[in-house]
Amino acid sequence: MEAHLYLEARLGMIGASTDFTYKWCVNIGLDSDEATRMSLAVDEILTDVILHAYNRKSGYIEMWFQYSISEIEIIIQEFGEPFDPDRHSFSKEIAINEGNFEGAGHEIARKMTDQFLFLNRGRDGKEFRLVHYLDSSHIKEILRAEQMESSEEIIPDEQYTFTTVTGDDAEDISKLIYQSYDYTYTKEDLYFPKRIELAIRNEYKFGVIARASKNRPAGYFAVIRNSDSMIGEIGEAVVSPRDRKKGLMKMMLNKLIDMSRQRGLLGLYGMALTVHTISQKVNAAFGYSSTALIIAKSPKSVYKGLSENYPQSISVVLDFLPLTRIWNVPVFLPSRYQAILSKIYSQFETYPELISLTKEKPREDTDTELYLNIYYQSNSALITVRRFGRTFENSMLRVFKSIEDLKLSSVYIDLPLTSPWIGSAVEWLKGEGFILAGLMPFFHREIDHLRMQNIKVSIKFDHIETLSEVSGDLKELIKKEYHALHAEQTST
Amino acid sequence: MLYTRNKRQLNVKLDGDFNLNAVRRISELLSDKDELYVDLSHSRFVNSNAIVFLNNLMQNHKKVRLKNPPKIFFECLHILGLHEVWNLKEIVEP
Repeated sequence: MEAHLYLEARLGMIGASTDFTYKWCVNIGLDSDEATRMSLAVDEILTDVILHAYNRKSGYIEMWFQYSISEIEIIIQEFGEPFDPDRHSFSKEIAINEGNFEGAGHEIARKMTDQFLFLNRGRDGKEFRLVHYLDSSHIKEILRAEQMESSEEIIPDEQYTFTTVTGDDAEDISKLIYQSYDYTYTKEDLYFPKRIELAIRNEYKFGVIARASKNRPAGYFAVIRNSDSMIGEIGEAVVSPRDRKKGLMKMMLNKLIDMSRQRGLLGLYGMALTVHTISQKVNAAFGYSSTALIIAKSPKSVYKGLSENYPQSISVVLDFLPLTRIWNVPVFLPSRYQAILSKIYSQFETYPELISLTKEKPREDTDTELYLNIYYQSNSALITVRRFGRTFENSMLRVFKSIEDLKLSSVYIDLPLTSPWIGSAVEWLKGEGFILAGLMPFFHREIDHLRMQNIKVSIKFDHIETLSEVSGDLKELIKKEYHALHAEQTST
Repeated sequence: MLYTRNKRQLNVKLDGDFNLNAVRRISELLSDKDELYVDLSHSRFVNSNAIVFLNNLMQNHKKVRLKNPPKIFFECLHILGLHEVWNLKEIVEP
């Protein structure tokens, strides 16, 4: 359901773009009023860009329409004249008293959206990001209205049926989560049936629901598809307390693996919590291998079963399960991380050809292509390098500058391991305060990436629990790099 | 966009949103007429350029009447602070 428009910067294009915006929003599941608000915001930005940034000059505007379970985001990127919106802010008093409505368009766009961001990326253009949060009723409100079922009758030798989830199962899934985890499940979206329904309808995820007698929901397991690669996150799993220890999880996972293969996915991954090792144990039991340790992935939270509040941002281990034996494209291992990457790959039955980077190759004279994702709810960002070019360092610095004011907790960078220039990129990023996270197999455009991370919050590694040998090695290496970086920053 | 005009008045029925393109068309057609009547039954929104355009007309003592504006229009007037300045009873026709 993602879309990309490439528009000539002419007034005649605005109506077509706002019509598309409206229809795209309605198709995603927004009601008419919400879709109109996003269309108006888009109209205001495009009008301003064409009138002021391009000012009768020819040029192009790109728009990306992105959907996730909790929000939609429309990104408008342009390469017109430099502009600083802070110097053109709207004032009601000046508008009414002096008839000067400067900044009115941006003011309306800001009010029509739940998040409005302007990012100046210098020579790489300017970006407007318009975000609408998908609003819906919390399962608690629904349950309050209809009173929760309290039948606790235990049926010996309960028979279960497994079916593919549809939008109609959304409310049962929310109830299962709430009844099993109270408020402590990490994925908040699962408390909102409407969000689940839209995600299933938009094929953002697929899954299995297990039902006991009388159609009672007993378990749910789902895969969330990656938007830019043929892999999926196996991130939503629940079994009702009374149906545990009956092998439901394993039966559902086997069904999910079959469904994933049918859909052509190359692999599945799980982001296992490091608050404890329970999820890592479950993943290991199902044959996953740890490939990365992602620090400060989400803010502090409360976990059921833990007596005390977890004291810091949540870090996760990336566990990966390949569904293919074909790993066609060879990868280049930067010398700094050659040993750990080789060890990570050696966990898999098959893996790509690993090429040592002994000598840096001259960089090709191409443009750099970066893609920025901002995760508003977890206060983090991911920069994906789609192409290294001669401007790599400058383009990166411009992205860093553009997100500086957002005060993010963490910034991640995914570098394609298929490029022989990865060695110099890694060394440069080290100098910019980035440390290793690990391997992200098939993560973007079906290519393996090396993830590096810049952690802006304080982390105590004693609170991070890892299970496997590789995740332990990753933790030690990352901890060493983290402390070395902080010692260096303190001494300067 | 459908329109009729006489010596004093321009009547417009928009077939889409009241955006900058519509403002430019109306502005050309309006020339020295004293009154503008816009039917917004098919408009999802009225953007800031259109609101400022209407405001300028009224500042220049031209009469503006709007038929069936979308509800988001009133929210935009609030955002721009014009809800207290415009005489909506005279301007808006349900």
